[in-house]
Amino acid sequence: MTDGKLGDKLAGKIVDAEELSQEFKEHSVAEFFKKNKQMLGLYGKVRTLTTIIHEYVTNSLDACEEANILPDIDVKIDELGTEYYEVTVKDNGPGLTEETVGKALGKLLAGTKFHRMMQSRGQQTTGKPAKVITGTGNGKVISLELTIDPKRNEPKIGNKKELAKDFRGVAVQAKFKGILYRDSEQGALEYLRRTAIANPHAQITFRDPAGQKIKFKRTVDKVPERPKVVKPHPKGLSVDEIVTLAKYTDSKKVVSFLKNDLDRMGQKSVEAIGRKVEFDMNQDPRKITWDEAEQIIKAFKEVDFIAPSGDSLRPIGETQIENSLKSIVEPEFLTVLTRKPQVYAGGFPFQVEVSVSYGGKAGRTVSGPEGMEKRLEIMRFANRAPLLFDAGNCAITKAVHSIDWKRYDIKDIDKAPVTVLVNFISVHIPYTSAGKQAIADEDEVVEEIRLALMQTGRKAGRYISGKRREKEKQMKRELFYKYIPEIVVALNKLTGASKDQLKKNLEKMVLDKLRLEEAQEIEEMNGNGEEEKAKGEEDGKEKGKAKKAKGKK
Amino acid sequence: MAKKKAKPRKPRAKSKEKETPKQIAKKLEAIGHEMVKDIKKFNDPEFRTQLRGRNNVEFDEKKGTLTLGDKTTTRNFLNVGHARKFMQTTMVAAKTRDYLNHNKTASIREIYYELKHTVPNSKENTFDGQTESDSIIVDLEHSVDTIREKLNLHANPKGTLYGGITLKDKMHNNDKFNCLKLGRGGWSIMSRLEPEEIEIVKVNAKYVLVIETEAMYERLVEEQFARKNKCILVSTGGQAAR
Repeated sequence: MTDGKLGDKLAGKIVDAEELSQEFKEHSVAEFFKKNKQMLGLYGKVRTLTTIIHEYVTNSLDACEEANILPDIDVKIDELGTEYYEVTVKDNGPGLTEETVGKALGKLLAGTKFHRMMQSRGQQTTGKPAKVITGTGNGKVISLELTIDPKRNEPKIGNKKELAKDFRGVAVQAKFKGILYRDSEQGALEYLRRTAIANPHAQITFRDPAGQKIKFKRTVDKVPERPKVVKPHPKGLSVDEIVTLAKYTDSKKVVSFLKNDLDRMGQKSVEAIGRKVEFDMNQDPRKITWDEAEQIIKAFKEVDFIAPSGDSLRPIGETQIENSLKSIVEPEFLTVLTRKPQVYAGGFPFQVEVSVSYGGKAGRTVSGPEGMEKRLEIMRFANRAPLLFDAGNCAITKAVHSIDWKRYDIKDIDKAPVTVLVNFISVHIPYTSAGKQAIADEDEVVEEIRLALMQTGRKAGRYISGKRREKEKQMKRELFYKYIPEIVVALNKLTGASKDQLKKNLEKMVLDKLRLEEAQEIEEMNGNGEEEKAKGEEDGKEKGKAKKAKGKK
Repeated sequence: MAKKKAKPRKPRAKSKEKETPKQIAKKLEAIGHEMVKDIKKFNDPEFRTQLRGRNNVEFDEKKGTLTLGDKTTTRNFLNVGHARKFMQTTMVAAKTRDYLNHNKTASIREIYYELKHTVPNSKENTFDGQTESDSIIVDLEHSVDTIREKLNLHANPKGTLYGGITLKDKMHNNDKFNCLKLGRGGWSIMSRLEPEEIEIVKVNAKYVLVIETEAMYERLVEEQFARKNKCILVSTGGQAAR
């Protein structure tokens, strides 16, 4: 379903459900388990509910995106009893046909452990079928009940009815036992809030079990473009990956294999590599030896390539993030950065988007010993999907904590009113585990996130230190001003000097001193931007590389 | 006895010993004028005094005592750490000058109470305790190169005397009294004991016994120790203050 070909075909028009249905690839439950093993393991009850919402909402967002529809998603959770809830998710997507409803939602239900074979832990099925209403917008609306046949592991449709309604989209309603709704950082509401931030083109409405309605408004009126599939970039490949790729290539020569199967590999690059390796580049790539592959990798390191294409990557976009954060987080100040695509081991391009929000309603509010306190909030996303669990193992968390925020005038980042957003974009996300809740701390990944955070951190720091200076200046002014009247009275008594003149002069001296101090501090800050300089150099290098590469073309 | 409470310090020129209160008042005024001069020129006003710290202590081998060295320190207004003390210094200087000009004396505790109030438009007191004003007084002593008593300031009376000695209080009707006949309470030792204030008229004792603890002093008074042993009992009321 993440296949980009469909996206290309769409090119702006709304696709109907029948067309979409052809593209459904059925994932076997076995495969699902393999990928999501941890997700199905020892789960908290809260986490299970969040996972259910995640599956439903992601499904809706994907369907809308593929059909080029601005998504409107309504989520409703009703408490039916102790640890017993009914979840309703309704979208305005392309809808499902009778044939695809089983496949599409069966997988979903299986994934959310609706199915009985997955009851051993976590929530239990109620034994009741999920109710589905779907229409494709052509006037035909079907209502049906869906169960999973536990023995055959296949969806079973029952109680099918046609409704005389006009509706396009899918509405699913299912009951779950053994789960729990909590308004916590890992809860469904926070999940939806973050989903809304990362998907500013979507409008998400949520009604919690208490009947409270929360609406996350759409801030962008454009469906994001679908990503394209790209070849691996030479800089990120390892020896065994070259061997594997070569084994399955259709090319007859190593030269053509490199040109055809890798990204950014032009004639000049291939020639440069040819000069560096000690074997015949015209030999059959399928017979490549480990030693030869090693030579290729070594040559890759010595040759300049254009940075990987960002075509396959779909960042949210700086303006989009800014808009949604302004609307949903409401910080006093925010800065956003979308970095250029990079490569990590495996030749997969990836891209990092970060934002640092400060003040206002930014940060997590917790009740501490002195009332409500602010804490650092780290919003982690992988391809726009919020990562709520396993924060400690995540490259994003590690990158955030590896930074000396004091440099950016944030004394204690953990207790600062700061929301850090990091969106990691890649065709292949290096998750730490099948739970898909944490990104592996590959060196290139952590470093890239760090660089992005440092760049945004500097901007935030400038704002914060400006604010701090202003505050300090005011406090200092007050401190000196406070003592002036007493001094004036005493000196007047002692010497008979004019009170007015003493006061006027002392006040002017204070103001002059503060002005001078501020000027000095700003100068100092501009003077010792060593890191800033280093950064500039690096950027310069990157630009230089790109230019060189272009020149070669 | 007059030396009992005096801190070891460099011997002063005789002329200084004879400085009149008016002369000392002038010295305080001079400090003020220096400050005003600076302020008029938009220069940060300064107050210079002796550095009282461990790194300004010297051992005087002749006397066998520890004395303060020559190091000085300055206190400015335009310094976050000094501003408050600077204000306190001007306040104490002005107040002390008043006493001197009117030829009145005050206890250092009185100075503290006289000057303590809330700084306008703040939640801060001009002085947060007597230790703050006491330390300013010591600073001023050094700045005008005199002793506290010359500033017409004295410590709160502390300690009592009981025994065969007759004194004359020249500052108070030239009262003469025998310290053996003042009842059990004895004579409350004044802060200033300069010969021009208190004169020893007659001594009828063989020795002076100084007792640190008040309780033991009272015991000996009750037991008629001074009378029986022909001595003078002095209680210090704990560690002597300066």
